[in-house]
Amino acid sequence: MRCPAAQLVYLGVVEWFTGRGLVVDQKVVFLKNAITDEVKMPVTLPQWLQDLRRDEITERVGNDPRSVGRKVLGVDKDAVMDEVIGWGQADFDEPWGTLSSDDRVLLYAYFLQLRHLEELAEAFRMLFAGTHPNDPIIVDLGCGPFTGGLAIASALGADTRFDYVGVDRSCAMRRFGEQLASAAARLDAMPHNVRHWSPSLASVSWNEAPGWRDVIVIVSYLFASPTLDVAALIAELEGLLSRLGGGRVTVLYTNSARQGVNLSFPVFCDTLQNAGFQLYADDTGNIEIKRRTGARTHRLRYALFHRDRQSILRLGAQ
Amino acid sequence: MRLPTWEELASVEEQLNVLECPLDQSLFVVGPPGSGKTVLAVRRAQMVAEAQPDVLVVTYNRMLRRLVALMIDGSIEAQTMQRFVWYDYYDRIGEWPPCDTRDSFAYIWPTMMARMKRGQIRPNRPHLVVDEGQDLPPEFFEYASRYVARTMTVFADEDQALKRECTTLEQIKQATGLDDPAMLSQNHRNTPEVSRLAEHFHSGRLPAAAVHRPTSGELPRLIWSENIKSTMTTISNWYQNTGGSIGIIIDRNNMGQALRDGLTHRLPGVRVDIYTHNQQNEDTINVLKDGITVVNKGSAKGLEFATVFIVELDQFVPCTNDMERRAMYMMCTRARDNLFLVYGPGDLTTMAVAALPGTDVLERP
Ligand SMILES: C[S@@+](CC[C@H](N)C(=O)[O-])C[C@H]1O[C@@H](n2cnc3c(N)ncnc32)[C@H](O)[C@@H]1O
Repeated sequence: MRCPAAQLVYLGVVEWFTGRGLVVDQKVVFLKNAITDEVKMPVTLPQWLQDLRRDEITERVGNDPRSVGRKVLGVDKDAVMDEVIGWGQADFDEPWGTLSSDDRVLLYAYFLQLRHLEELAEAFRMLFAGTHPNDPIIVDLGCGPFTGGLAIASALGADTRFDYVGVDRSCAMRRFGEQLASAAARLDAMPHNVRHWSPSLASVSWNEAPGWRDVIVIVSYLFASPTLDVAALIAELEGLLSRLGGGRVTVLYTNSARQGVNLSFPVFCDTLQNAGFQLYADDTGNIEIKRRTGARTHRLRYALFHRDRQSILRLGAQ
Repeated sequence: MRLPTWEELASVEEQLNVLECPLDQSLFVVGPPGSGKTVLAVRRAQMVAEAQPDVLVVTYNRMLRRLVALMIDGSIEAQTMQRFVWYDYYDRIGEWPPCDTRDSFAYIWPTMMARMKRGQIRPNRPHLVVDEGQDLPPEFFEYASRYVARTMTVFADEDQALKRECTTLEQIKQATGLDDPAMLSQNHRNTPEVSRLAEHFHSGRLPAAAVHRPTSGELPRLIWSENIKSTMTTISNWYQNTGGSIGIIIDRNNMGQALRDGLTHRLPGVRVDIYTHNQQNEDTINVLKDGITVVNKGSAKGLEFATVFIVELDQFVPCTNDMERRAMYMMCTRARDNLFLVYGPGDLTTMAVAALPGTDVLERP
């Protein structure tokens, strides 16, 4: 801009931040007094969410006539992780042996979703300690069966309205996601929530005019796939974000701590930073979990990015 | 795991501070209805004028020009684009500008620009401020930035453009060399209820402004009116009970005229004005004063009233294209506090009914 208006705004932010102890010239922005201390309280999911998982997932698997002995839905437990759900990377829309695509998704929810859910619930508990966004839009990339939505609902509580945009290439995942979401709505856990399901970011149907609502993007365990085109994904994300408006955007990344599944992270990080995001957390760490079956520790890779409201409308070329 | 909290990420509201932008620098600002574009345009013009006279504010429509003139109280020149170019060209070239023979309002810009160039005309004003820039032709921006003022402040909102061929932000940028526009993001005009109805018709890429006023508890209302007399009764009763400034937006001028005559009769001593393009009587109307102003949709742009009645709703819905949606969006956002959509005596078509939002946004009869 010829007018340093943007600069003024920028100075304002820096001043405000430095007042609160922000060190700006580092890759990761440390909010000195701000980062929540390592929470010692173990994670427990709210009762409604435990009930929901019991009714919709564990009892359905347990009560299935095919589940006997070491077999779940007729498949040996040892084969499930590698072969049926491929550690979450399977093509869930294809049947597998005698299993339908819905069976495969149910097994994903049975074996893997809980852990992801606990991690996200814990991340949001930290993020929303104190205050939380009002009427945000949640964009869950590779959403699986509504995992991010359940975690957000448990962190925001029943009174906070939010829109949920669930993007997953698998139709069976989206279908089961909606089943869990309606069950949660029936339990009054998220009475004011609107859901938009889509197989890709580009095809998200969003009919509202762009606004200034806060957006939270969840990228939970999407990155294991080595074929994922991260730059293209973020370009599509930018396309959706500009349709949503100019509000603040926070991106939460969680994944397994294993090195091999985070290979795309550096590209992800760079591309987001080029798009104006700042990195606020980038680490591998633990969370303590308390389940009915006992306490345990999860180790996970996580990162948090944030971008402020857009003050300039970027015009395309003529 | 360690994460900052949302509170720490959320910065204080950062808005471009238009009034702090140095006065010798150009500025391009986009802002939705209610974001204060006209007030900011006037304020910026006044600030420039303190140091340098000959500042000019340009608008497209005459009623907005009048509003600006009332706000600046004669201290600064405010002109419509048509009139300004007419005299500016004459002053510089010594001839009236060439126009399309069928339409004296359609300037033949390429010829004019060539004459200005040959005459080696240079900008002669310190600063030009444009409000509702999307309504002015791209050629005007070229003319203005080459021959009128090197420094320009342009306010625009293409989401409110009323013509099919509106000027895009890209065209303004290209014609003037301005940078990408800064966005205004706060709506201080409308109640949340009015804004919600307006947003129902909003299409475009500029984010709707965040509404700052508290809820009023009064939803916009759909009103069926048996005939023009009952419309007048509704409006005069409302005025007698509530007072304030009322805007009546009509489609056809004879309807407007009839409403004005009837309301003048019913409300003696109350200001009841109609602006029509044929009369060009805007200078006799004080929209800042309480009373009733009847305008058509083209002249409503940029104005605001405490209460707005959009009569002849059947002429405005169903909105079958973006242009019609933009018109409804613009008209609804004229209302600060109360908004009434009036139709009748015939029923709305099924399509028109379907184009309206639900009863949680618009109260039905
Ligand atoms: C491991 S699961 C994670 C699901 C959920 N986020 C969770 O944490 O429970 C990965 C999901 O990403 C989906 N997926 C993989 N690649 C994708 C892509 N390119 N676009 C959309 N979804 C994708 C898969 O269908 C699968 O449901």
